[in-house]
Amino acid sequence: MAFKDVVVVGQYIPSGSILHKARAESKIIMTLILIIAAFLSQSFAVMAVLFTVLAFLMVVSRVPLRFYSRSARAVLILVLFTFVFNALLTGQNVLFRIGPIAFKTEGTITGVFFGLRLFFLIFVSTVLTATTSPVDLADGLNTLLKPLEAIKVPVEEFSLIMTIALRFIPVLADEADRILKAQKARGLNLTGNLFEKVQKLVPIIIPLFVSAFMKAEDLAVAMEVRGYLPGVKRTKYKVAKFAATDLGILAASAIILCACIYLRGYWLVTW
Amino acid sequence: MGHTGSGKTSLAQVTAALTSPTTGIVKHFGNPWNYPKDIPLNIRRRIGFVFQFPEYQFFAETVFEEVSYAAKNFGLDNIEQRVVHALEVSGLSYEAFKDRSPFTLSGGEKRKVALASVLVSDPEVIILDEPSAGLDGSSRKMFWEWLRQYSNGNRTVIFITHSLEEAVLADRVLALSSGDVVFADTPREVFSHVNTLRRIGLEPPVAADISCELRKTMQFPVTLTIQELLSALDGGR
Amino acid sequence: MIELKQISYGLEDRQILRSVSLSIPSGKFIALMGGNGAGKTTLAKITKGLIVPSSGSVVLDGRDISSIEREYQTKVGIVFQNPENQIVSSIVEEDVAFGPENLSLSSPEIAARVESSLKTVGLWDLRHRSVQALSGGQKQRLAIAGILALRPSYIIFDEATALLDPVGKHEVLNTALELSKSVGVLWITHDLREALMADSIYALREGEMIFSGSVPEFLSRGDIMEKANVVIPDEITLAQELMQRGVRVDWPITKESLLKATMLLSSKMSH
Repeated sequence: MAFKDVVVVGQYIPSGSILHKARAESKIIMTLILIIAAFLSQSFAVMAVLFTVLAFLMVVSRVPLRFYSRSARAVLILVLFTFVFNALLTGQNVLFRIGPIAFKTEGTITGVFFGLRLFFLIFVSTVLTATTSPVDLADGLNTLLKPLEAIKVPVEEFSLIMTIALRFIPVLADEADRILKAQKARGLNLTGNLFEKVQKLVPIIIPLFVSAFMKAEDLAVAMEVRGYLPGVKRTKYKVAKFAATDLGILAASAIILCACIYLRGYWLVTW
Repeated sequence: MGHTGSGKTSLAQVTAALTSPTTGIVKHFGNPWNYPKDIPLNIRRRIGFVFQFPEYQFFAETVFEEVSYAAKNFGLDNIEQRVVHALEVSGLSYEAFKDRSPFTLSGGEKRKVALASVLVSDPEVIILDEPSAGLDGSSRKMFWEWLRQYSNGNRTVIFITHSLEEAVLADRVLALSSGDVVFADTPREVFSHVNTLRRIGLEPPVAADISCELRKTMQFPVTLTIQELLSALDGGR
Repeated sequence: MIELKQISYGLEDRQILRSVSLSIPSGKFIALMGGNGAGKTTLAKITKGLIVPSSGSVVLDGRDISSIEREYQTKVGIVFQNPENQIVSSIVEEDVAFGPENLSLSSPEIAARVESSLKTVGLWDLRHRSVQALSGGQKQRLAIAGILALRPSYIIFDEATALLDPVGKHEVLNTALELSKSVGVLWITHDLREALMADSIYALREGEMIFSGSVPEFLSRGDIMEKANVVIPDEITLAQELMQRGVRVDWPITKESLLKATMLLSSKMSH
């Protein structure tokens, strides 16, 4: 498997939908509200509301469904593990048996709930990254964190670092791939126990670091050449406007939040 | 040879058992490779692969350590002797270089150490990906002179190139385009089809190009190098 | 006009440049040839003002660059060898905007510059693309656009084609030639083929300028070409041989002019 397949950075799928056009800030706020609601709630009723909202968002995003299912597949093991772990270990009453393995009633229900939560978390963040370009995402975070500048947090620099990281992660992943192959050609065989494996990684990690440092040096000069001076005020190319969509998204988020609070006592997970 | 994305690097990596193909049969020295299950270390020893800009894979503190890496990995004996030999074949003195850091060498010396670090396992076949990229005039000439001598023995050299002027030196040329083999023949045969080469995004060597034009109006041989073209002209009728 | 007057750089025992002079008139394409380690990159960085020479001066449009303030320095742009390490953002248009953003320009002004720069290098249609999806030649053209957005009067290309395939080399060289109609271009290379269209040519060897003059003059000096360690393309070798046999080769040297000359030679031979 190639390194670049392992490095999963939220993939952007442009489709020009209404969600794509909305500002990153409102989408980040909405996503945060939905995630917090899912994590604080103990109620299947709230979960039902949240999944309905999620389904709606997925349809509106006009991102192919198979893209979402692909990201679900990646965490399926984790979800299954959470479920089985709960189902086998929590509670006394046996719900059903598969051979010698007993699934407990309480655990199964909690397990299902935890699994749903995990899926929700993954899907909701996938909606965010699929509909928001990495650059917009970084800019959005930048705006939302802006108030922190008052307590001397270097938000602007942070956002530039994010931009550069997004740019160079795939580049370095490619590089790592190439170096790995080159060392394999020189007889590297990544087998053995953990300690041996770590030792064998040295001839991959050192060239990768050397290359990253060289890139950093080049990039620093290139940025200076293009007029970058740390600490000097920068302007923005695209000043996104706060549109009706954003107002809609924020209002909807508020309504969903209220609904979740209202429904928090119904169909509870615990018996 | 082939344009970017023609699949030449993938083909070379499959040849060296570094990448498994999706389907098909790969035989190394007559034995089929059971990919992706088998990691054919022995094949990788017998087929050396020099990547493009090989100096970017240096990791060791000394030239000795760098060059001996492959020999140790393949479990070979007489390591010091092998390193001495590999450095010598690549045109560097063992005594002068063994304790130096590979990172502080000049560009040309780095390339030679990188070459030695592959030759150390004494491969029967050596694959080079764009070996002269980034070299200036004299280093390039020296490299091709070296390669000509090296391949004179019983070794097979496969090199990947964009530059068709370099490809005329080969005994056999494979031209790829978008994953298909377009030509697999002698350079003289391949370079007589200048129009097809252009169509697959390759710029034919000027000597081949002009001899092709001349053949439209007179009897003229396919010439691959400037020397050949000139002697064909000088020979006249 | 940029004038380098008797530039030296380095320590007593290791001089990288020795009393080198060179001038780049605006609207001209100037080629600087030399092998690895001749001092070409040092010369480029001094011209851009990234490093300060030990002695000598760099004069930009009549003023010494050591006395020129920051905005004025954007008048000289530089494009480096590796396009990958000059691109800051992962989206094409966002990257071009990086320079103007540093200059604190207004959003409409940035937009205008992004548009005109991308159109000049022929990447306007790809403005929303991810940088990762571009070919090598396209990436280097993007790096050029990033420099153009600063509105330079002079651009230095420091072996800007060295890492590209033949198609990419062609794209970038043609872009530079086109630009040289309006800005002064210093094209640094060791491949003579790329210098054939230059208005004048300089050759550097071990820190010393061993030639300055026109391209035909340079081509007639085999000794200098040898010393300067340049890669001599087959076209030039053929042209020289033909001229030695008393056949005229039309300038500039192209396939057509060479074909015409060989035909002349072959008819001469048959008489």
